[in-house]
Amino acid sequence: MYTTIKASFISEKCVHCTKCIDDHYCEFNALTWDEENEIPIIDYLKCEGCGACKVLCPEHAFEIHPVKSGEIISYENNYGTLLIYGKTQLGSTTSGKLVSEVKEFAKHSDKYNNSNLTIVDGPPGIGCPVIAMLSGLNYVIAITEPTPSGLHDLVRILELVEQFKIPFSIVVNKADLKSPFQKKFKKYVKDTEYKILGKIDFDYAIPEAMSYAKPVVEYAPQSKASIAIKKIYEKMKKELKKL
Amino acid sequence: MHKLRNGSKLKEGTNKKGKKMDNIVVGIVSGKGGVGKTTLTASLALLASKDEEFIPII
Repeated sequence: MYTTIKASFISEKCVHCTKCIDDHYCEFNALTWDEENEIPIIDYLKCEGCGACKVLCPEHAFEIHPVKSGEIISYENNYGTLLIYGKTQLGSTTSGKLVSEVKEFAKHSDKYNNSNLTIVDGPPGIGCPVIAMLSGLNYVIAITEPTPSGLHDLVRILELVEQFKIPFSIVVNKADLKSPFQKKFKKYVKDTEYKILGKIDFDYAIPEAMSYAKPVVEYAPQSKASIAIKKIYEKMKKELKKL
Repeated sequence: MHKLRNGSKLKEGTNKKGKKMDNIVVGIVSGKGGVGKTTLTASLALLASKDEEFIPII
């Protein structure tokens, strides 16, 4: 079980002074006043568990408690590989902390000592969970597509990866998209001289494999996507040997 | 002791060839969602699990 902290209210201690609202104790606007019962109400989706209300209330009518905000799940998949992932509850915060805890959980699993390769499926974006995920990585594969948003977000993620000084390479998915943007994308790759680990052309085998909940290299091993991924895998091995 | 799919067992800290190993951590990232991170992760992990050189976890 994965926990974060949230505020709770002890109505017996409240003297109904409305100070918590008037003096704006909560920076996250998690406190509102219940006119009927003359007590503050905590909005748990907004509460960050910072503890300001607990410190500021002269009557000590607020407490901070750990609450379940997600789970870490681990099991051996059909291929005998240990799969560990984290699941946050709807509206819960600190997903970066969950990522860190999933990594710690993995390191303490029995199978970790017997494994020699950990593949981390990163969260999207460049926010807190991605930063938590990047810490401690030996190698990064940045996957993108030759579209305006693909390039825009590739630039952002690579800026972040470079700050961590982690060696990386790029995989271009849907590489054969007929788009006027292709030229700009190719120019970016040429100008930056970033290493392209491989390209995967658009292939219906991928969505089909997903609908059968199978990796494409198993569902359609002879598909062009699978062949491209196998080449990427071989190149990745070579890159890892250089580390 | 790690048990392989064929029933044989591995010494701790060695790969399927019995060679000493360190755990390498590879991250698949993208600046946005929906570009194929999970598709690539699943496929690479499956290929690694079939490869004598690696014992992967995801």
